[in-house]
Amino acid sequence: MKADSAHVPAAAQKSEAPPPGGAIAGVSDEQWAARAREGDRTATEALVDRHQAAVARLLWRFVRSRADLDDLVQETFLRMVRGLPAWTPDRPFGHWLLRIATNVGRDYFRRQSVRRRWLAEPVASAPDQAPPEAIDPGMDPAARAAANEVKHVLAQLPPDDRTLLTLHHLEGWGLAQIASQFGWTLTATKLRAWRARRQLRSLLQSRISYEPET
Amino acid sequence: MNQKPDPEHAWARLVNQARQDVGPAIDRAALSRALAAAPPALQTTWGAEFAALFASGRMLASCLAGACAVAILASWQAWETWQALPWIQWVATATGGVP
Repeated sequence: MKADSAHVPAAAQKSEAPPPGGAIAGVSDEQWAARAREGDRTATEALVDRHQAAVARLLWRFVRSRADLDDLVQETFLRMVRGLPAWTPDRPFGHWLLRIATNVGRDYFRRQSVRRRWLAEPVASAPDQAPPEAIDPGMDPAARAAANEVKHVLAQLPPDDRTLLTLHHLEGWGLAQIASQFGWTLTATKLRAWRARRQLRSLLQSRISYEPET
Repeated sequence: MNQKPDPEHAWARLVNQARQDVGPAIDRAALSRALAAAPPALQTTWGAEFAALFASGRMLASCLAGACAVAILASWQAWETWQALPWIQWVATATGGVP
């Protein structure tokens, strides 16, 4: 997914970079998006600068390695570029972009699920399941370990249920917000959440029964 | 006697801890390269969309669909006419050939 740097001259990249910090602060997302829609690459870069942290933070909930995170972030922004002609200023740009990101995350789960089914391999040894990212000592190792464990358990659910519980548990999104992100009805989302939680409960029960008693 | 922990309680604790996890920094340079390599987002005009409608990939399917629609319409019309013919004959006989 990573682009070949040989095709892009470094000087061109430099000249297209947006002015730092304050110069772009006064311009709204919608104004940048309108310019990006006309093919202005500076505006595209400005949008990326402004939203990359939020997009990466959200997509980190879906993946376990930095390589996968980079892939998904790139895919999100490439979809943004392709989708800009269809974007209209009456939709808040940030929401629209996060919607793309959640769809990218869901597609990633679906791809994993399909590959796993084709290869008929269990979750733990699936080849697309990248090894968890090494824990940076500067970060919270307990939180990273807990996140890895949660992601590992959720990986055993069907992709849409996994997406729902990932956003609900790890991002703290409400069911109404999830429903609006995916265009599901609230009733369908509640039903899906109930089913997913029931499945999760049985997974947790089976994990407990496998653990030795202390 | 040791009691097994409540799985849901343990899960809730695990999830709370997992929320504190912060992901690694992304490769911003690679992202910029990917975006630079992508074709620019240009708003398509109605003319371009109309031309795309008749692109070679869709042409065959469009022709087939059109031919099927015409065939169905023609068959239906022929059947309707065929059904009406005896009645026309009857009307013509009853009125002595006056339509």
